[in-house]
Amino acid sequence: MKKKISLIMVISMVMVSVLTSCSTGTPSGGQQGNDSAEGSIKDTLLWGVNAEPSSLDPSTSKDTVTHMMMYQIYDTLVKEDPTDYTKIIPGLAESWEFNDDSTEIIFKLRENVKFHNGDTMTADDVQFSLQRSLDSSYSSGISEAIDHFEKVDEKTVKCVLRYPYSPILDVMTNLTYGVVSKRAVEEAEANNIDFARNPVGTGAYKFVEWNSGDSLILEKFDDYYDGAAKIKNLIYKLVPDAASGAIALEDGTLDVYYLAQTSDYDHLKQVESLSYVECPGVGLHHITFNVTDGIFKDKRIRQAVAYALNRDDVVIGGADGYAEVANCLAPTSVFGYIDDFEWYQQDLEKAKQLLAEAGYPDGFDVVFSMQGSPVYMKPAEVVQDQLRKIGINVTFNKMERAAYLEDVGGKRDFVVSLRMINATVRDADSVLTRRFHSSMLGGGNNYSGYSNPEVDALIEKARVESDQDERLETYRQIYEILKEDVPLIPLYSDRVLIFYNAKIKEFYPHPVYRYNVSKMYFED
Amino acid sequence: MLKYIIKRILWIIPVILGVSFFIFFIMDFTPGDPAIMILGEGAKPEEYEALRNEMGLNDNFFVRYIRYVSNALKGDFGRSYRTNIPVFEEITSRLPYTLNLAVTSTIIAIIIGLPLGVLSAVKQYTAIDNISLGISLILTSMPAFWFALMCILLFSLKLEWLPSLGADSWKHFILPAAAACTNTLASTLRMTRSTMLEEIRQDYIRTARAKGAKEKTVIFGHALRNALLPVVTVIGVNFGLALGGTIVIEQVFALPGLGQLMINAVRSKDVPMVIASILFSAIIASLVNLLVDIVYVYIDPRLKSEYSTVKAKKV
Repeated sequence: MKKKISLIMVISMVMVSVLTSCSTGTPSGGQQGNDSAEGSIKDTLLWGVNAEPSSLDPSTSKDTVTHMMMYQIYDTLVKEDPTDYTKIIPGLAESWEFNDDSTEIIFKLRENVKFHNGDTMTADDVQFSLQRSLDSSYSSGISEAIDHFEKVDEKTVKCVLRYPYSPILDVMTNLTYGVVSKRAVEEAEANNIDFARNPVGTGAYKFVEWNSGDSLILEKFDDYYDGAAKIKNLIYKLVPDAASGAIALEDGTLDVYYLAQTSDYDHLKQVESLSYVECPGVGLHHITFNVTDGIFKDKRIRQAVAYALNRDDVVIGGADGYAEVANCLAPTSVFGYIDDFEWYQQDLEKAKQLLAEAGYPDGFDVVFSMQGSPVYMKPAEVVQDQLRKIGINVTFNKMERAAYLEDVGGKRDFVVSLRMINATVRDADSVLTRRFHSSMLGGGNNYSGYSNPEVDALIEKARVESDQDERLETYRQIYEILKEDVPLIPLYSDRVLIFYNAKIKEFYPHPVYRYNVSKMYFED
Repeated sequence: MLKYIIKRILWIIPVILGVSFFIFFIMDFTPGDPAIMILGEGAKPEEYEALRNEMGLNDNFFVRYIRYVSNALKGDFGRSYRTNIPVFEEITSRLPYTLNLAVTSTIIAIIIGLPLGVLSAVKQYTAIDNISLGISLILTSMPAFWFALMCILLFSLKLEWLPSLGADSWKHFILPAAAACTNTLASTLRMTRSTMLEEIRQDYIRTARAKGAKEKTVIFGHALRNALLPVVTVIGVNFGLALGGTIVIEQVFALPGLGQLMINAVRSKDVPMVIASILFSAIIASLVNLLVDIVYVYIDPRLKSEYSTVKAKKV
């Protein structure tokens, strides 16, 4: 018996030792850099993130987390002032000018900019990078106005537009147009190495290691054109669970966490060791009707829903109060949002009257097609409660994101949905074109199926107009028509809050999380 | 015995093929288009179509399945739709974390659950019995993610004894293993108690005691040995469950394991990653089942004699 028990024990011990040696042999990154810093000056910033980067190649990524990380690795020709994101300042281009009809922008490149591989940036690198991104399907949604990029001379690159496009400089700040080393890309291709996992840019931090499912390790680049970063190591650590992320921030394990839940905001604000920055985001939560099929084909019913809602309560229930009611069909932070524009105010009598006129005096039952995430379900439940008051009984068809994108986005197989759109360019045009322009019907982003030649013409007019006051006036006209037709109901724009170790200085807010780590430092 | 083991290992092949077909079939019929997931909502229909063609998604189901299996047999499990990393590379880098967690939590469950179960049975209806039954009830009822968060709040935030997340040292595995072992511990404890209670009432135990055998020998030498069979089964089943059940624990403690990989892959409709990670879990579960069967033979002399008889007859 003793023999047999010892055999079992030996088997178990061998298994454990083999497995343990496997796991301890695998670098996990996250904590290592941090530990080494303890006891001396902290030289590592440990930044928790709720998702892994998809690809560190500007031409094959478009998600927020990845762009937040790539902002440290790559530079763009123009960028936002890190201390005030509303101002555009020179990046890799030291100056730029538009031609007379605003269809070309000539960028004069900065000299002596080094890549992480030691090469000096040339106009060839810039033209190659920009055209490569433009040709990629990942750049759609922001690049429709751009025709091509061309090299003018060794220090000049030209962006040629299909039509004058007012927000073009904002487009050029997007990390999709980050500049990569042409030689590094070509060498990677020749050697069958994935450039997306071995990036070479000109940014303040250079790539060290990407531990899949765990961390991305970056180190400061000493030859950075704008002065080397103050913090030596920057580690993005994957912490998918937001509650764990918030605790790790509170106990000092993490220095920054992207992204705490709105329900934790009030508590985290009270924690002395933490600070936060806050600004309006670029997302717009809204209700989308299918205006071509089903019950919401009738404009009066859509208006009735608009009259039934108290959107202040939707903000409280849906975003724990951390959002702003949007009165136009654009996020509150973008150019083209008009502060004094008024949307429907709650008027239940008027709502019931409209329903009665449409032939539904007792209301009706309707199914909201939804993604199951609380980001959408929390506001939707408040809407459900409010619509009950005019006799509309809402039930939900909750779906996984993949199914939702296919059914509601691809096939337009829905009656009504509550969803969100991000202004990928910080201009109302980004939302208005994608959601209301006829060119976006049939597979584009115009899910409601709304088509109005007058709105199309006004969107196109605003897009090419260079006088900003004139543009705002055109947007106002668009909003008036959309308010009458109600293909969508704007609910609210999120507020962007990010919490961080209070010892970090020079941390400024940004609506799409472009935080300039190179200027940050730890206060003693 | 060796022949039996080889036969059992060979049986794993059809199991894996069956699992792969089943998962491939399910993933094909679940709604969601990988091309839309990759390109997001902003792309044009022709861009989605081009990507689908490039990824071979427009081919017939069987063509894709056979292509997958023949590549997999050559060790090529494809590349992740989302990150473009070879799936095999990704899984082998994650597997140690999950296995480590599953093995550690199972060992903790055995070390605590087994003796407590024996003690409960021997001291039935005493305070010890009531307390251990109470503990097992609480452990079974608690959701793992909640228990994990409470552990972090207490041991990391308040007492500052243990790190709240990461996987860099043995310290990082204490809380996750504690949180992951709750179910196995509770079921081991209860199963040991009930089988022990059955055994110590058997005639042979009375005989042993009548013969004047020491109580220690009666309990551990005779009763426990016979009580172990169902307990080993429960532990084996729980180990299989632990492999899948660590998903929540990995999320909470930010461990880069297979569970986390799997859940992200399912969410982003990363088909090659989902199929391969489930296949690897299935292989491990099959191997653990085999191990459990081998352990049976060593515990139960009747089974061993069966194998010996077969061998003798053949000789």
